[in-house]
Amino acid sequence: MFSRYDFIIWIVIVSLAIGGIYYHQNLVSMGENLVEISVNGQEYEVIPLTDSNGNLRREIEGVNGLTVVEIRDQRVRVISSACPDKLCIHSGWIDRPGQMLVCLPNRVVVKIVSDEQQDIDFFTN
Amino acid sequence: MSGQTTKLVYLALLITFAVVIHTIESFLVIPIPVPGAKLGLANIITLLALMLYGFRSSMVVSVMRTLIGFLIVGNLISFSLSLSGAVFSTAVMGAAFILYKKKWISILTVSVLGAASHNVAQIVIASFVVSQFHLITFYLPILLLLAVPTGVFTGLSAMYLYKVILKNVTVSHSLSEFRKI
Repeated sequence: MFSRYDFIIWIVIVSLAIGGIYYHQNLVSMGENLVEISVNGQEYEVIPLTDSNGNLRREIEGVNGLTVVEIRDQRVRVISSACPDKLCIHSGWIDRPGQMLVCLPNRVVVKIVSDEQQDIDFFTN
Repeated sequence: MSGQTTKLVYLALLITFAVVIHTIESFLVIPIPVPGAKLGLANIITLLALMLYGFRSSMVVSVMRTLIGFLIVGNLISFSLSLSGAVFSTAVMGAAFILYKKKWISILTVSVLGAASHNVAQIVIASFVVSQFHLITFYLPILLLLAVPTGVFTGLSAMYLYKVILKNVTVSHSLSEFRKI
């Protein structure tokens, strides 16, 4: 039923997927982590993740309405958003560089970026 | 019924099934929250149409499914996501189906390729919506991995449906209209 072409195609898809996930898991922050908020592709605000030991909240005016982002204990989440599916809220907390929260209907993207990013191999060298 | 009418009726039925799956799917929440993306379970019907009537009919079924699905559920964003996913995955499955007919690949691989391309198209359009191309590198690996179980599921479903249809429609006079594959 299966030929070798089947196996080649399946292995390519799975290895691309696992490689991509592995790459994202191993992005280790070298510098300071920043929370980058953008609306409709335009940068809205950049907040350092580290000075959020208090309880920082930002209300972002998106395309449909307000998206409220909370930054606490070096983590970020979306508290409320003017979108129908609330996927951005269900995403929960993010805390590592490369992770992102996306509210597609409201065109709001919250992502954590780092000053410098290095692979984990950098440490083992 | 003439052959053309029979085909028309069966295609209409397939579109109806696809719309139902599409509507139910829009209420499912994917465990990994990917913005706006769907699993593409309605690909079962697209694949079935491809097996029964060929590429052009399956394209009609998948495009009509997203159009009618847009009228029932969803907004402009989810419509553009599902339309791009449907068109691209049908095109890829149509190409892969040629390889299947040459017995180079299995129907499950056709289905997995369809699911993968469905997800690729969706995440590319989603990244255009928010103008953040970082979205592709972040979500594509997860979506590709998700495409394998979805593709296997849709492929198996289409395979068994095809067998059942061939077995039961023999009694009526419409079998001659079905394509032999």
